Parts: sequence; structure tokens; C-alpha cells
Amino acid sequence: MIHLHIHSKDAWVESDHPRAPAGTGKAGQFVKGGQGGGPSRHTRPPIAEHTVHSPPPPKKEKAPTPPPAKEVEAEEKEKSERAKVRGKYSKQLFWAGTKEQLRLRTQLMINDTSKVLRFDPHRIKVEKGNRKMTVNGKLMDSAGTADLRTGKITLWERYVGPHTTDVLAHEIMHQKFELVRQLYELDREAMQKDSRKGVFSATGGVGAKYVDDYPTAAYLHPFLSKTKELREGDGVTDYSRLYWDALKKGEGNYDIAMHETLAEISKLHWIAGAPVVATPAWKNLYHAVNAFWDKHLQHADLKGFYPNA
Amino acid sequence: MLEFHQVVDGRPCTLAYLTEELTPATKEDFTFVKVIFDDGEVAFLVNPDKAENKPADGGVQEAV
Repeated sequence: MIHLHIHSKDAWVESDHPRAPAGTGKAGQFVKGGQGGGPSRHTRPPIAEHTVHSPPPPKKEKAPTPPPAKEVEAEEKEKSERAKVRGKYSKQLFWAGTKEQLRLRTQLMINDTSKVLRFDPHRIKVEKGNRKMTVNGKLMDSAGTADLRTGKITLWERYVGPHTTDVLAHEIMHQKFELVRQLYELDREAMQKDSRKGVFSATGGVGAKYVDDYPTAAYLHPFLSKTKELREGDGVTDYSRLYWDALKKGEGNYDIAMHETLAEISKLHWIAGAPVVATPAWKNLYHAVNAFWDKHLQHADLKGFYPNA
Repeated sequence: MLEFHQVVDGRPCTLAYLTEELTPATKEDFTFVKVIFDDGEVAFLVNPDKAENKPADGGVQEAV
């Protein structure tokens, strides 16, 4: 079982629930609220984007708390590592030298990029040949593929170049998010079948008593359930925005839009370093997926997750 | 631009046409097309009409 340190958004915050002052005859009682305010705890919302709930009452904006010094230091270190690796391989000189030197440089690039992004470099391979596909009657070469069914990324040698680390940052995020998303959905499916009282919290998350039973859902639900904010975040690049614009017209797929947006955030984070350029809902989700990956999956034996690999 | 409900190599997919800078492009003028198969594979294809920008020997320039 995966054990998590949960920072639940459902935790009680006394200041959010004002009580009547002493001397009013109702001292200590809540000023408002009480019985029957929220959705039934027995309501079982479906998984993924459909876990939308009644919006909470507006809260007063709190002044942002500066991150702890250790976090700032870690972020700065990571920024420096990203810039160092990207700078090392993003020059036109990448192509200089013999074929053998290029092959060696490509493998070093994969190793260095994977290390910074905390991804297993053995899941990235370089092919020498061609894989052709026909699109609209035109035969085209594959420059790279990412297979979410196997967790593997393939680069075709002739198309490896100075921008490949940016592409890897995008594709690696696809692999991370897909695995985390699948674990989340496994928890959610199990919750749907769990008849114990209070498995679902009032907000559709994991009930407080069942956090240890469904740790992935407990950790990620506060981020993934913000579908309204994620949709309104509208993507972070012109490319990812295409998918959200399509959804507004009733086309496309929510999961693909989520995937492409997180992958684009990862690419931007790689190119620009910290801070991540995105709305708060997207930033929080991006960091949550990476934090979950770093803690539970980066060193895990993933063979069991990919039966078809 | 995106094209939904397409079929490539007999597999249903979504197509995204992109420029060399990986920004949205038109179906008529693109450098890359990203094929997102419904089965979970993603392929990044190169438009052969634009491929002449790549080094002719397959991405490798011999040392001088």
C-alpha cells in the first residue's frame, strides 16, 4: 500500500466557521450553517471531471505566505539544474562531430534530462530506422513516439536535435500524469464499490476515516476536482488552448486537454525554469502530480503497471 | 488546428498540426503533426515537404 502524507483541503479551519460570541445566548454556536447544508454523503460522484461539486462560499483572500526557505532553495537548485542541462544540449553544436559522437551525446542528453526530471532513462530509447505513418494520404516519418500503454518514449535518431530536451520535458510529463491519473482512477473506482458510510466526503473527496484506504484519491482529489478552474485556466500555450477551445464547442476529450496542458506546463517549466507559468489551479495540479511521482513512483518498479510493455 | 475522429494506420486518433516552433498550424502548412491515438500511443510525425531543413545526412554533421 502506498502511504501518503496528506495535506487535506477538507481539514477544519476554525476561522472559516464563525461562532456567536459570549453573552449572546448562543455562545459557541455557529453563526450560520448546520443541518443539511451540503450534498448527501451517500452521493457517489463519478470519477475524473465529473466530480464537480457545489462551489464553496466565497472566502476572504488571505495574503500569500512566502514559501519556506528550504523550498525556495530547492526550487532555485532545480532551476539551475534545468538551465544547465538545457543549455548544454540546446545549441546548434549538438550536431557537430561524427555519428558516433552524436549517438553518445544523445544518450548523455537523455540521461541528464531524465535525471533532472526524475524519470527512468531506460524508458527512453533511440531508434536508428524509420517508422512511417500515412496522414491524409501523405507518408511521414516519426520523429518520436510516446506510448502511454507501456510508459516508453522512442526518439528517431535522425530527428534528435537541440530542441529534443524540450520535447522530452513534454513527453515525460505525459507519462507521469498518465500513471498518476490511472492510480487515482483505481482508487475512485474502488470507492464507488465501497459501501461503507462516509467513504466520500461532503465535497466528493475521500472521507477523513478512509484516507489510508484511498491515499491517491485523497491526495489528488483537491486538485483534480477543480474542473471549473482548470477549464477556465484555458490552457497555457496556444497549442494546449486548442483543446480547451474545442471542448467549449463540444469537441475533443477532457483527458487529452488535461494531458496536453500539463505537458505544456512541463515544457515551459523546463525552458523558463521557475516559476511555472499557469493559473493557480494548474500550478497546484502540476506540482501535486510531480510531488506524487517524486515520492511514490520515480524509484518504483513500474513493470506491474504496464502489463503490455 | 485539431482534427478529431480521424484514422491513421487503421487506428482512431486526433490530429494536431504544428509549426516548427510547435505552435498551432494549418492542415495546409505545417511542419509536424501530432497523432494522438485513442489507444494511448502518441506519434510525432514530420511533414516530408518541410523535412529538407534537417541535415541531409540524417541529423549528423561530420566534423571538419
